[in-house]
Amino acid sequence: MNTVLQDLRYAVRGLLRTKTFTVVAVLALGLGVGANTAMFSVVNAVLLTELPYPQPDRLVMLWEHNLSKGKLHNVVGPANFLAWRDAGRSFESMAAFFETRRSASGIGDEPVSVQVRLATAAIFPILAARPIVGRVYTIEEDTPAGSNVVVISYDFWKQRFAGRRDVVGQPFRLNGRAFTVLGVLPKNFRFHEPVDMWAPMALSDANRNSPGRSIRVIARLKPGVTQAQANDEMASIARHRVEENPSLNKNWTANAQAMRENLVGDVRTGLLVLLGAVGFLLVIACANVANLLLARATDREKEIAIRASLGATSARLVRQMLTESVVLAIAGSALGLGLAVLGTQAIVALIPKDFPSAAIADVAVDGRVLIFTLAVALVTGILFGIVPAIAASRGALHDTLKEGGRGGTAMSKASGRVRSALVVAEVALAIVLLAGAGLMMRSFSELQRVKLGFDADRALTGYVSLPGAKYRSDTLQIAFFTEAERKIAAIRGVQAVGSINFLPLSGQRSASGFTIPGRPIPERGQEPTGDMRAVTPGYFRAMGIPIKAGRAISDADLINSPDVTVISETLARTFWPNESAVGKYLDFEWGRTMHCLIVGVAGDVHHEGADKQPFMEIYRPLTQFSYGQMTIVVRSAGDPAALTGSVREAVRSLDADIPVSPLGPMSALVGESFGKSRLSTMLFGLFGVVGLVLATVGIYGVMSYGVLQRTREFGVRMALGARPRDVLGMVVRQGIGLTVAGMAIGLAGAFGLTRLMRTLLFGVAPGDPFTFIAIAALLGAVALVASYLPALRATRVDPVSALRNE
Amino acid sequence: MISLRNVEKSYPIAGGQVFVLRRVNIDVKPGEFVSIMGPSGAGKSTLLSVLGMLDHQWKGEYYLVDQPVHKLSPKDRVALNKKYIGFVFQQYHLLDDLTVQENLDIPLSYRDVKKDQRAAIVADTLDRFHIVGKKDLYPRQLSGGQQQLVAVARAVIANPKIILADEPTGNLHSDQGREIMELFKKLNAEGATIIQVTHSDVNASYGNRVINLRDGWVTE
Repeated sequence: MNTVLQDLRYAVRGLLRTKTFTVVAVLALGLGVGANTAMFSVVNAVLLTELPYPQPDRLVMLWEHNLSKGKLHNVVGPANFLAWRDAGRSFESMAAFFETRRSASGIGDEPVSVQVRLATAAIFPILAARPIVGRVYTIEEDTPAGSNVVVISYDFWKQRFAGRRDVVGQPFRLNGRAFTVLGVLPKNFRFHEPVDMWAPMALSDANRNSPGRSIRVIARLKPGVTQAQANDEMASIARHRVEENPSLNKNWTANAQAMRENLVGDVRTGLLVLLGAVGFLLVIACANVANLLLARATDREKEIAIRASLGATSARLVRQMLTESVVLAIAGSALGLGLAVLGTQAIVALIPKDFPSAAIADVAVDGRVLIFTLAVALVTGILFGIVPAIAASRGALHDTLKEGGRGGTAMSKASGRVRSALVVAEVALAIVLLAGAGLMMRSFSELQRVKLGFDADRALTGYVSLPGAKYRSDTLQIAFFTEAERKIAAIRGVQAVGSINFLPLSGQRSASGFTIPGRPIPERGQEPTGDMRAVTPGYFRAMGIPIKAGRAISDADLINSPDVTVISETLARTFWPNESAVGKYLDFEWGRTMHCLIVGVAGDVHHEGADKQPFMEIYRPLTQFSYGQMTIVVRSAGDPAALTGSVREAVRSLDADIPVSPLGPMSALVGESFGKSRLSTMLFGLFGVVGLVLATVGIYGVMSYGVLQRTREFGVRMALGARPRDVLGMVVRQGIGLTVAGMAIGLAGAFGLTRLMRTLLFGVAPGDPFTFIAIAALLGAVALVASYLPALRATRVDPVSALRNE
Repeated sequence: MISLRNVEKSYPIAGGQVFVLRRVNIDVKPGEFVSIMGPSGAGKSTLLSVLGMLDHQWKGEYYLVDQPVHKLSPKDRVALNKKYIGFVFQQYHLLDDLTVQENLDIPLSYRDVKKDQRAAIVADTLDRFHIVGKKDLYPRQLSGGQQQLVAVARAVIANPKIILADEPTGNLHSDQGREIMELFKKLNAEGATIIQVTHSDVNASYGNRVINLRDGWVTE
């Protein structure tokens, strides 16, 4: 036992003496283990861990499929949901839901804006949601008559009710209507985006004739029923629905999608590509550690030979080397664990709010992953640490002792070849990583160059939801927003104010088919679709959206005036490519037939983000297209955040029960819209930089060690008349040779592998020559420096002392 | 104590073999102090490595204390080395990371001597070689003569019957060299069998027999 401790003591001392080696090896191991564990923990939680519901494989989302527009997963019409629920035989049960923002009062002193999920009662049994306090609502309560109850989320309970258990029965008002709290959902219960409360959707037979599509549907398959069978049945039901209600369903069908697919479908490719990238990083890190250990072992041939000559057995030598490798691996792993914890937290923190997976909030360092990566690091360390010891214990000690440990033995030469090969591999892998990082950066840069169509700077936005019970009529709603804007416009520093029902980048939209008078009427379901927006006259100015032709919505467009509209450029260009759209008409059904005169054309807006094309937008005056939920946009002369208090106060002065929330700068929403791309770019960039650093350390290590080994040779050459630049050239050429070999292999690999990133890229092709040339130049320059420094040392070899040392 | 019969060592080269040792026949009795001499490249150090079992690639018969080394496995040769042989090198070959005390401890540790016993033996040896004051120093903090003194102390600490020394004074100036040779003489007088490789007639004069090598042949 005490000899083991002795080995341990000597190992630690030896590692501390060679600080540079130890720091680089521990960093390489730590980065490899940490980055892999963090990334895999996220992927594991999002893609591989079972969804947190019983028998999650039986959960499916049901969608309508617009055949003429090819939209596979369209939200569902309430009328169709009711029909599916009646007819579906593949399903144990089926529930519908959608989210909306409401104003809650009677909880605390001030009204608050809350996110509410309206859902049919069946959703709780489907998800096996069991409240920790009280109960969930029943089918009987999920009716227009009994729907004044809510189930609240754990966080809302803690924040607004201080976790009081007597919360059940607590009365409050939601958009002016009286509600009571029925129960509280568990802390770890998650489903899609987080909401503050769940309320009955209260569908009734009246909804069997509802037009439009606005809800999402989840269902639990009966035991033994496959997704394919469910799909077939949905298609069959949809065919019947076309006959039953052709005006709603012509050119529409329906399908089932596994819930996991729905949750992670969008991000799967990104996560897997990032996982592949981080795997490359682990291989580079391991190659680096192997390289360092081989160099060190070659350096220590003499020491190993002395120990053997003093009576050390092979087993004892191996144990000594093993101890060092294990100490190194433990130090690297400790760092890796720390980096994994921080890395996991950092990735989760960077994940944008609209990330689809419910599991993301539960991500923690995955023990199995940590053990796997530690094992890889340990095996690398052990393998490359003890092989030289075994070789030495079997080799001719005599030669080693005679060579004086200068590395002229067969083993050191073989190790030199292996190390060169490892550097080539490192460079190749680093090139692939850098290519990925370069493409992501170019893509992100392209994305940021996209003009969103509005001016987010100095714009403040706040959502207002008018209680339907109090503001029953269009007139009351219009009056409220008109007066609110008048009060806000009077605030010092406000340049413009306007309102819209669906703010760009809010994730919310509503679309409707339309026709153009005088042109052929398309078949049902095949008519063009426009995104409907209700705006106040000041909206375009407040949002910085230019009017390209005609005029904006004006104060003269009143409730009883002729219907008017401002359309977006894309819509105008699509239907009036060679003439002005101003003065033309659009018709659509929205409660009544609207025959709208086009009075202006506004600039295009990227409503769903820079990577999505602008929609065909139809702006209608709020006076003629009333909405109770609007987002007020305020353009400020200075910092928009400075207006927050005044704007809130202006709205409250009209109605103390109405909160403005969330209230924040538009630029924050723009920043969030780049979240996913920014995350992927940052991670890829980080992996690329770490890969580059590790590869550079590899090149530098091999070249430095090579110079050390060849000191005598350089001494002889210089004694024979070689000039410093001859020696410099020799060393640099060797380094560049290894780099070029690695780059050639890496670039070929990168051309193939970056194809997998196609869906992640925007405005740049996977094999983009500019990116490839740039990263090759970058790596070439870095390799040149990494070779030049040891080469410079070689030119400073003093021939006399080099030869005397031998 | 040592008996070599027709020991040969050669390397393959293009077109044949190059011999380093040719049909070497040597006998060394217990308590002898033998010097191996000869010009550079004669095979002196190679012969010492064969005797010390640092080199396994040779042919012929080698008996060490009646044990047929030529028939032993590498593992058994290591065991025999540990039991009978201490080695002193021209370049000292102390372990750089270990203090003087720890360098002395290493051979005992490899012989599985218990910790408290090792401490006592190391203390005795430090005292015997008058290097107690240097026990916590590292090799780089010692002069060449002091390093070789420690190397000799390390070679004898496990009480070997045979000390093999490869040009032990080759890197030392004359006063230091004389001290080391006096030390070998003393160890020989205490019963150790010593075989040294040397170029120096003066060093050879400390011994009682010279074996001359030339081109691998013994020309005694």
